[in-house]
Amino acid sequence: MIHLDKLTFGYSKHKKLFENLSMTLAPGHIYGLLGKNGAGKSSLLRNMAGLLYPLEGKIEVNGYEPKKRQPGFLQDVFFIPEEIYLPPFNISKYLSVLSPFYPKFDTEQFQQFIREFEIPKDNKLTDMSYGQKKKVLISFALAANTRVLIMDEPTNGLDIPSKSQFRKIVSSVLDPDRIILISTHQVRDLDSLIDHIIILENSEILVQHSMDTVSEKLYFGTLVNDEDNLRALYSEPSLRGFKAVTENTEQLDSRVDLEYLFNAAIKNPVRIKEIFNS
Amino acid sequence: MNQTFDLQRFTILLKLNFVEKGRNYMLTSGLFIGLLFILLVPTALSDEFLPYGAVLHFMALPLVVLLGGSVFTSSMFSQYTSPSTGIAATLVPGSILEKFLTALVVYLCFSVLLLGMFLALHYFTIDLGNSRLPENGNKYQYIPKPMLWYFACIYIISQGAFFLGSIYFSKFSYLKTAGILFLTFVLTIVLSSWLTSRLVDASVNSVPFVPWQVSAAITKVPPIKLLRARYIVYFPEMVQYMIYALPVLVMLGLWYISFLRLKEKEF
Repeated sequence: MIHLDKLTFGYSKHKKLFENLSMTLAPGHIYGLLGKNGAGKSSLLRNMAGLLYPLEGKIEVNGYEPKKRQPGFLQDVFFIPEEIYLPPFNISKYLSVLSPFYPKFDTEQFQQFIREFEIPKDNKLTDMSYGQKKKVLISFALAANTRVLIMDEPTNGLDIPSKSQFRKIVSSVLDPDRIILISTHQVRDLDSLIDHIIILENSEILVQHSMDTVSEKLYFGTLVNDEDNLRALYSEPSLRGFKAVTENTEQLDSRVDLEYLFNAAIKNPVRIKEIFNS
Repeated sequence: MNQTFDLQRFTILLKLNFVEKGRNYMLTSGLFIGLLFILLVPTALSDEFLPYGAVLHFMALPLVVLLGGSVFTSSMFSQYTSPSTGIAATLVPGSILEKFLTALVVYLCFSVLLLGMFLALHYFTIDLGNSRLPENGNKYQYIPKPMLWYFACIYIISQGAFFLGSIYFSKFSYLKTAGILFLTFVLTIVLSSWLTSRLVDASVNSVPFVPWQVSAAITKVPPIKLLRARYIVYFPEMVQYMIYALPVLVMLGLWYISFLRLKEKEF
């Protein structure tokens, strides 16, 4: 469980990145955190991982206060930053030195992920490409079986086949005790992976709902004429009219398009809030 | 689970530290221990008195022990200098105390080893060199004890300062720490001399940790000649030991600040 209570953070007391953020993330879900560049996604994740300290408010992760960086907290939370570091040795050495820190580490699972990602086993980690390094770290993080897994832009540097491998593997490791939180600006990479979405904008959380709620409240489809388009929360011209997001007043079924949802939330924040609060 | 200290976790952290940085440790140690041999061994190998032999021994103190120790110590928290390595190091599941102790143990081992090796080699090579020299000729002298004590004080404080500098400064930690230490050293001497000159009507060389050297006017012979007496003021033995304890207290203080800095480090 991750619980934020009136969290305020900024790199100086006068310039706050977010203020009074409150939310609860429950186990058994994969959360997607979206936001524009500079919205504070990475800072929020780092607060949760205990790498940055809040100015005000409280964070609780698995019953621990992250800023204390206690071993019990660290061995049950794995954070993959955007810029990763791997030490200068090969995979087996890396495993032998670091896996003992994680009591639930599953070596066989790790080997399986490495095979699926097609990582050469004997190469030095520092000699690998950025994408390969990222895949090694993702494999390690998933095999560590921590109750909380936080990933900041995990698909950066991954090629197209690896991105779908990533989605497949991540969805396979979700269990009822585990929270997976993924931040990205490449929203397509989260398609059909996340079951909850969080949109951070202008120091506040605009949306924090399950994908089921999103598809219940909003309709993603094509509008044929300009008149219909007036009620769109966000639209883009397409071959057959306008591809748009509208309020789902008629309870129609549609597939959530994360990119359109994000754009709608950024363009019409007040309306979006009203819709979700109704 | 003990959240503050666990021996098994500490052992794994030490192992990780050596696997990651062991090569650098070996290279630095090898370089400075090699230099120590190059400077100290010539006195032991020659059948003739080498006038520069004693100078080499004196030079080894600042050039190898002080410089080597500080270079080594200033790398103790190098993994926390960049965000990517810092995040990886911070998130390793060990307590802050265990991570701090890992660096402390490594730095203490090397510092004590280097100083111990210097002392052992110094006495051994001087003795061996003297045994090869003719009975009635010049003999090598050990470095005087007060000078060794004085050096030990400087060594203890500087090692503590470089240890703190390695976690305090993200860039150029060695140069910044060395600069601050040098300025502090000069300022302390200037301030100390100024204060003592106001206390006593004499010229006093009051370098910290060592007995004062006083040069006082005793008579003035007209018209211009001035007679001065030079003498050394030794502190009572107890006071001198207390003065020697001061660097240890400073070092403990520097360790504590390093610990707090590690605890507060954000990425």
